[in-house]
Amino acid sequence: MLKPLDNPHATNAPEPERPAPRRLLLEPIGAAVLLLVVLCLSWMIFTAHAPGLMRLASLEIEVMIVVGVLVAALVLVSVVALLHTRDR
Amino acid sequence: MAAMDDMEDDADRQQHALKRPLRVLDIWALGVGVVITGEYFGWNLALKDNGPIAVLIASLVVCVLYLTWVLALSELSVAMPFAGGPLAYGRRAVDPSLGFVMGWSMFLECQFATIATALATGGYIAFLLNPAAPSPIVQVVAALATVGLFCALQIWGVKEQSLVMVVMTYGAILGLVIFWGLAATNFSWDRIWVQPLLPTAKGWQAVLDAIPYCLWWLVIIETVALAAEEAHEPQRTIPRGLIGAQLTLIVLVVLTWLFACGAVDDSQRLAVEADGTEISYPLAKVLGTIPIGRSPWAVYTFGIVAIFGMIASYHGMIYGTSRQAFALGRAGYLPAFLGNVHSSRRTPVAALVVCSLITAGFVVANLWFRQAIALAVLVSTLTALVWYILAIGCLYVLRKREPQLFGKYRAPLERTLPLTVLVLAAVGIYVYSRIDVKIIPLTTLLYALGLCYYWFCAHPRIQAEAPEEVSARQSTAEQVGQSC
Repeated sequence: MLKPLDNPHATNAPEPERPAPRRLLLEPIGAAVLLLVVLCLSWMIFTAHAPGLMRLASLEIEVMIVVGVLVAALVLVSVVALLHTRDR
Repeated sequence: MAAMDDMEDDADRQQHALKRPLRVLDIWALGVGVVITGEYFGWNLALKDNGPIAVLIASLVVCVLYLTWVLALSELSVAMPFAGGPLAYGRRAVDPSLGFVMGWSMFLECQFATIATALATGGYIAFLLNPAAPSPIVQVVAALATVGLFCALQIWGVKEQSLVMVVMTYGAILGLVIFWGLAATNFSWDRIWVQPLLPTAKGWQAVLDAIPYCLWWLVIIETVALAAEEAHEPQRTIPRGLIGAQLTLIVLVVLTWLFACGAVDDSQRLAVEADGTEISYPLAKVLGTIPIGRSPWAVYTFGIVAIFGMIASYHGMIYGTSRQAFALGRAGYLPAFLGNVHSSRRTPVAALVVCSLITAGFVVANLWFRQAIALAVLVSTLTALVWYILAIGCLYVLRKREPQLFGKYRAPLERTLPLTVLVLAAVGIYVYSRIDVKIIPLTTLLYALGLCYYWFCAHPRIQAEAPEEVSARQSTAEQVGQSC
């Protein structure tokens, strides 16, 4: 009978990482929101140089959309990063 | 004879080796503690001509930048757990010149952050002693005392200073909690949701103008990457500690902004005095302005605990500065004596003393140069952005050329994450050209001085035994082996 250490199938190599299903779903959403952050910042730079172009109905709505995108990015990236650490 | 050579090499490596006692809590405390000074001063300068909403949006942009950056950095620092982090990344990905530029950038970032924090610590102490008219002399003397005390503590030992760091970090967070509680007594949403939301004259430009100062909220958290050489199981401790620290800091940033701006009628007064002098103690200023601040116990209780925050950060920053100087000295990119460690305590004594002396020199210069804090904050954040961009370049190169290097830890959102860091850091550099303090010529001069030293003095004396160099040679050997 083989002792556990003699088992030819046993290996010390780490298991390949298998992302949890939740992470599989959240990662593409997180990536999309990060791209939205980049788009928001590009829009901000454009608007700072050409204040009359590409504006929404009011400044309040613009501020709420930008803050919403940034908060969503922070929450999603944090959740994905924490799940990623737990998977390991 | 060969055996004797091996023994000599081992002894030499031992002479330059650091201990590995740091665990997840130590890494978290180092990450939060080193950055928490950003909550106590520096960010308030962003309020000048921009208003609270612009500062909120700029702060959130900075939080996204740093959250993505620490994840990308974890990947690099776990793959190459050396005290000279950026030096090792640039050296391995491209060549020694890029390694030097990246290492020098981080050295400048840490050194100028240390100077700003020492001065602000002195500022808080001077405010405590005389809230009506803080003395510049008291500020300088208190700052010098901080520099001397923490140089001695760091020389004492890394595990001991790590314990002190954990205690001081809790103290710094408690200081902020006391501040939120006191400021809440005079809080009003109307002071946050002002009309117009962004200054009419500047519009969205106000958000961009606020970014360089808001970077100070979180700058230098990457010091933790330098701790990888002293971390136990860095593939586990570094990502967990860094992510935990980053999330804690984001909460602290938002709450501190909210209560500071919501407690005073005119947030501009948190950036500059009526006579135009920049304020280095904004939270104390808030308490001095609101009714509860008329009670001496409130101001003194907060002030004393706040000093914990300042010195916790100073402690972490001098750690980062000295480790970077140590790594550059050990590898021969800066004078070799900086790379020596104490024979029994294994701490980089020479690097600590030299970095502390540079800080002390700038602290004294503050007596004649009143814009020192703003200047130090901006040089620190600009040099930080330079090496973030270069580090992401190295990450791309190494992922493609040596994928096996990242077997132990790979950041999530593999493609989008580095791209986000790259774009946000590039935007950060772009906005420097638009702010009042012209720091670009000074920063260029500092890089020119560093590169001159590298090309004319250091280039022929690079130490082949330094871990960063050994790592880079292994990479080259593997590539040659593969091509054969």
